[in-house]
Amino acid sequence: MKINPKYCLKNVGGKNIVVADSTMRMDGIVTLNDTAEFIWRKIEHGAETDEIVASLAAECEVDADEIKGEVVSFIEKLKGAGIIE
Amino acid sequence: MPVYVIAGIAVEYEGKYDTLIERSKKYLADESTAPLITIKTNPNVIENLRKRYPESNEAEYEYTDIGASFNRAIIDYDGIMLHSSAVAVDGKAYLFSAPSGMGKSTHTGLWQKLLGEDKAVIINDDKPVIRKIDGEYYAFGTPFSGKHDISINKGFPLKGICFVRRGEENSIERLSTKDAVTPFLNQTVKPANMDGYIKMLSLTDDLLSSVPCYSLICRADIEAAEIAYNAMKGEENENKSKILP
Repeated sequence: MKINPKYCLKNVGGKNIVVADSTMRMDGIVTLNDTAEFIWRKIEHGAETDEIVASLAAECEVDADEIKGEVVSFIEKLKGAGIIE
Repeated sequence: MPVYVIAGIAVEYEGKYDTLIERSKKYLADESTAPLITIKTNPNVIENLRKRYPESNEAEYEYTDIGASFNRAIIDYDGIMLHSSAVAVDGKAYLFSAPSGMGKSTHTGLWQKLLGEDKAVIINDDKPVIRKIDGEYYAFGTPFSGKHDISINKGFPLKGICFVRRGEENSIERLSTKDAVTPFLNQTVKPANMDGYIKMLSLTDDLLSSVPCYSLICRADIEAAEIAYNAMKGEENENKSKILP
C-alpha cells in the first residue's frame, strides 16, 4: 500500500497537516496526532500493516497484540478516505 | 493597466467598477514601476460569487475576486493574508484574528479608545498582509480591507498575533507555535493547488515560530484592550524597527 500522491503530510509548527491536491475535497483542516504521523511515515516508506504494528509496538514499548486492532482500523479509515491506495 | 504597490509588491490589475478603483487609489505606483504580478478577473469566480451572494453587486464581486487572487499570488513572495484587524502602536503592528463577527474590529476600536486615535492607528481592518522582508515580518495595509475600507498603505514590524474569542471574563495567554497553527490556518487563504498550499504552510511555520501568538478571551470592554496591550507590547526599551512605506 502507498499514500495517494494527491495527499502529503506537512509539519507546521509541530502540527502534522494533511495537504490535499485541489481536486480532492477536504472540509476544514485535517491534522494527525503523533501516532497517526508515525503510521503515515511508515506507509510512505513502503511498510505493510504487520511491519507498522510491530514497529509502533516497539516504539511504544507495548505488545503488538495490544495495538494491532487500532492500527488496522486507522489504516482502513485512510483507505476508505482514498488517502491510501 | 494601472500598477499598484501593495505590501511592497508591484501588481497590476484593471478594475471596471468604482469599489475596486477607489479603494486601490492610495496604492497607485508611479508610472515607471514594472509589475511583478498581473491579476485578471476570473469569470468562474465571479459566477460563483453571483450564485452565493445574489443580494450583492458586480462591483463587490470584482473587488472580492481581485482581492482573493492577490492574496493567493503573494504567497510566492513570502506574503500571507490573515483575516484580522491590524492596529499599529509606537511603530509596531498587532493583529487580532477571529472568524467574522467575533469582535476583531470591536477590539482594535477599543485600543483606539484606550490609547487615542493618534497613537493607535488601524492598518487594515479586515485582511492585512503579513510579509517577510529582510528577515523580519511586517503587517501591511491593502486595498482589500472589508466593508468599512479602513486601511493605510504602510508596513509595520509585526509584534504579535492574537486570536480572539468572546467570553465572560477578560484573560490573555501566550500560545505555543503549535497551538497557534489551527486558529491561524482557519483565517488565511487556502491556495488552489498543492504547491501553493505547501508554500503557504512553510510560510505559516516560519511566521508562527518567529512572532509571538496569544489567545485572548474577552468581553467587549476597555479592560480587554488594556490587558491585551500590556501583555503584547513587551519591554519599553526594545529597539525601534523601521516602518516601511
